[in-house]
Amino acid sequence: MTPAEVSPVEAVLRRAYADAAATVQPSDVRPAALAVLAPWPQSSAPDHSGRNRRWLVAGAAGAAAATVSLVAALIVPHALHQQVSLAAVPRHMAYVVQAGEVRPVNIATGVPLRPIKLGVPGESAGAVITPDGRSIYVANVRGYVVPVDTVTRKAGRPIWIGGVPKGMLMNPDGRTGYVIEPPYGVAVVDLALNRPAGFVKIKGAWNFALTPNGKTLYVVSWSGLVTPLETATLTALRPIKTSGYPGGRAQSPGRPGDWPSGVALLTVPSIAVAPNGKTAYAVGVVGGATDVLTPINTATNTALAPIRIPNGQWQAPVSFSPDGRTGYLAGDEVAAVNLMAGSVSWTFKLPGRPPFGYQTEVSPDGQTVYILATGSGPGGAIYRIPAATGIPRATPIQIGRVSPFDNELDLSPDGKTLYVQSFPANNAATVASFDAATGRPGRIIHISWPGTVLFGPS
Amino acid sequence: MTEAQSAGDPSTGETRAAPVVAAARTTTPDLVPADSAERVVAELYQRHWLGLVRTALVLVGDRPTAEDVVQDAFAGLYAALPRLADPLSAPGYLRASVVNGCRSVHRQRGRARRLYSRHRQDEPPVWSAESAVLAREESRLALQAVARLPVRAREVLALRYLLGLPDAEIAAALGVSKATVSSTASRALAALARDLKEQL
Repeated sequence: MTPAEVSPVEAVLRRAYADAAATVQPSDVRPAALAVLAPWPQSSAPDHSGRNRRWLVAGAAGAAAATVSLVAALIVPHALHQQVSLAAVPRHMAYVVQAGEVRPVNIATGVPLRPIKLGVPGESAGAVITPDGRSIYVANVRGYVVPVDTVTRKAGRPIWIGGVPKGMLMNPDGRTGYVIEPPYGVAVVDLALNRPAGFVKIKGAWNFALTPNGKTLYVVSWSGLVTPLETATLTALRPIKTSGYPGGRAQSPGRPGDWPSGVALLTVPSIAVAPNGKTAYAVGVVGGATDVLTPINTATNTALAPIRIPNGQWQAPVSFSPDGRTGYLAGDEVAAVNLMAGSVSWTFKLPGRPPFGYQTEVSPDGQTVYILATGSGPGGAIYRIPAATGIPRATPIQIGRVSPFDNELDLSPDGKTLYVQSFPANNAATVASFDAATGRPGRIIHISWPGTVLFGPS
Repeated sequence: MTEAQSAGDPSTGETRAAPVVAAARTTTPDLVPADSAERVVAELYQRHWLGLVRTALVLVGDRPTAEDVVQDAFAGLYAALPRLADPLSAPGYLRASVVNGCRSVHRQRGRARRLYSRHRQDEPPVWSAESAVLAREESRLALQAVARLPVRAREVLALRYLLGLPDAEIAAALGVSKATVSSTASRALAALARDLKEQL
């Protein structure tokens, strides 16, 4: 637009914005982004000083601010929960966890209930639900873990752990939580007493997985090293080298000034543990085009012979068949890997340009693999692929318009309902449900920003 | 052609049995080793933090809240990097996240206003008389007038006239059509022209 085309009001507006913008100077940009993102506390003591206190005041309204007041609230020991009859725990519920709230949803009817406010603002960054369904714990990007009681539908006092959480796991007994905080390591939370219980430094930590017996956490770093962490003693064991380079394929830079020049990463280090807990699998890349699974024997913590998978660009950790014999990877293609034989059984190339698949889900009977594909174009789709043949059912489930980012697929534990979180339009995210067998769409729940879906007991 | 395709499968994907000999795909000419998420996020931070904080500042009014919203956006990006289908969409993700975060702030302030007689924030809005930052009276009045516009209008104006985005990118950030951006901007400018004519 030439100066001659600018109207007087536009000229005034530009000057006003320039004046406001001038109050924020280039010198205000701190040199190291992560040092700002993750002001790591020196101890595990709660830190409510400085800008975090400002978040509590500016972000929370009224009663919620009182909830997070600095006066110590009554801490309800875990034992008290056990005195409440477990018959009171709601059944057949899914919980949509998003920024600042948890929304219970009746799986059968799809009807969402009133949201449970968490009392702290900020995007959620991982959540877990205890096996009895009584408690949910939500980690959020501002360094809190918030406990939620699903019976009273109330959030408890947030547990401050600091750092920038990215994901959360929980010991099967529901007493200990683990929060991964890249690139520093893993924060440990005592969920019985609702307080931090330590931190294990692991350089470059990015993803993690827990054995089903809860004894070992496997933490994969950007270097491709996998560090086993003994949960009983919080001891990090000798890191295990995995095959292949853990990250990325080349991507031409986009518009100058938009994206760091040179490389965009698409394949990220991932680790997953098979259902029987005997083997963990890390995903790497060899030569930029051939992907490789590194199996790790969890008894000896040693790497086994890698499994090479041609033509793949794997974006997500391995999903497993219930019997643990087959692993599924999602990327440009879905690959079924015979884990016993160390070979690929079939691959299915997703349509679209570029194709992109997110998180396979496997039906409880192991017969069907679901993959959410969001190739460029107007709509996304869920492909239903019989595990035996790798040939998808004729009609994928159309899920409508999806955004380039933040899509997630979840399957209810009974295998009947698929949930898709996406960011379709108008800057508003949704969770849409679909009948897994018929593809019939259910209700759409509007949320503020994509998060996580948890499932309570059936 | 696979069985599925020959049976008229609308899907154009193809299934194949695992090849006996695996042939690696030709690598693209500009292949370079991938880098870590920290470096990527740090570079995005260096490039975009300033513009994003400035945009958030005019949307929410005070600097500390604006910085918090932008920090949340970067923290969310860091966690969401693996789920980004197209990493070139990261700047768009950041803008959408900041706009969303500013809307959350407005919703929370709305709730606070209903509970209390005045809304809580650490500092007065950058355009208020109590704030010392804006020396030019004309700018203060203009931003006060903008603050009286609907939320969508304020977002469009900030992205267009402060961040300097073309309408297509504003549309992507807000999840609306280019036509909506254009009509929203026109209406907003007309309202501002009426409002400021009385003030000045």
